[in-house]
Amino acid sequence: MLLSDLNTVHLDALREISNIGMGNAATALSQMIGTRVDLRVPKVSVAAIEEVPDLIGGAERLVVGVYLQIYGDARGNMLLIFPRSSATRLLSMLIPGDDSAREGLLTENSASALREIGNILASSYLSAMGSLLSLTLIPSVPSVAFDMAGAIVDYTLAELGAEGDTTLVIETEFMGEPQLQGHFFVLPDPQSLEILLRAGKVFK
Amino acid sequence: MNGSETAHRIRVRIAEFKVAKGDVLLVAIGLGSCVGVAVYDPEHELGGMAHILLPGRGSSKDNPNKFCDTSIDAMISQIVAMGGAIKSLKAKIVGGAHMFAWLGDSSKGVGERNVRAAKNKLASLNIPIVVEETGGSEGRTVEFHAGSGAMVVRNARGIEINL
Repeated sequence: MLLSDLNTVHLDALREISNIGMGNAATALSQMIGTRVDLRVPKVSVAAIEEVPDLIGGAERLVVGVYLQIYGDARGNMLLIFPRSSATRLLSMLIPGDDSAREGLLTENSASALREIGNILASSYLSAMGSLLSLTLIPSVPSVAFDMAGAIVDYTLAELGAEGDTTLVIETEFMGEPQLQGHFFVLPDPQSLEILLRAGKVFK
Repeated sequence: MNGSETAHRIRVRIAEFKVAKGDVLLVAIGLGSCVGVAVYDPEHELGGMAHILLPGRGSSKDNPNKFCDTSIDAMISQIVAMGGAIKSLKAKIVGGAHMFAWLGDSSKGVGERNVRAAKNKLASLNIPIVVEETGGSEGRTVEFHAGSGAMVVRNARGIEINL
């Protein structure tokens, strides 16, 4: 199906499905770092690809990106984006004394910790969504980069970009104490959208 | 070298190209696997930059500027339409990094393919590439001065290179 065929019922269904998945992911994160993590109700939108870097605060903003692919009954890409300050705080909670994200490069240890966060968030998101929809959804091994938001996003867009000029963005924000912020993007492959909607019983 | 402080800045976003004359900076922010192809005619003080997402050429229903060949063709037509001479065109290419360096084969090298596609396209048009800053695993921001062809490339660590 085409993204332009998505109606409000479809978008609402995707939001609800994601809300459950992301709630699960926030709980997992909160347990991992031992502090409360709140979640904003996900936004579901169809965005032109050139607008995506601006959705995360501008193309030049320095962020940590954790990228995963979704395998199984439906396919797609997931991207977790943490602003530099939040990544630094997350790392200092996980690896006391680490300040590599402040220096502008990630050490092997901090990259590994961030991959693990990505893995836990993605797995809990996908397993909640999968059990709701009776689909098998498996995350790939995560990959981490610390760079300009534009540079992190364009790679993901290139993966999807051959398919069309717009992309479905399911986005939420984590907010924790002290000041923890993260964006969670799910970009299903166009062919997999129909599978997700069908499994959610909103597509005949 | 890179234009005056007062140069007008024009943002070139993903899947766009911009052409300008004189004291204008064309700016592509955060090129990852994307490739920035700058083409200029120093005699006529005219230049353009394309922010390309993918190699190849799109089908008719796609945005042509997302793809290397169609975007470069359209940009050069506009440079020529604005008075540029195809024989005096030179090119600089930037970007095509491999951002998530150790991913499996399926996704390997969009950046590398973009760079190769840009080189092939420019070669087919007989436009010499005077300098390139491509590959690696870091994002780049490019400021390209349309009138002079001067270029500054900056990475996330704030390191600048003049090209």
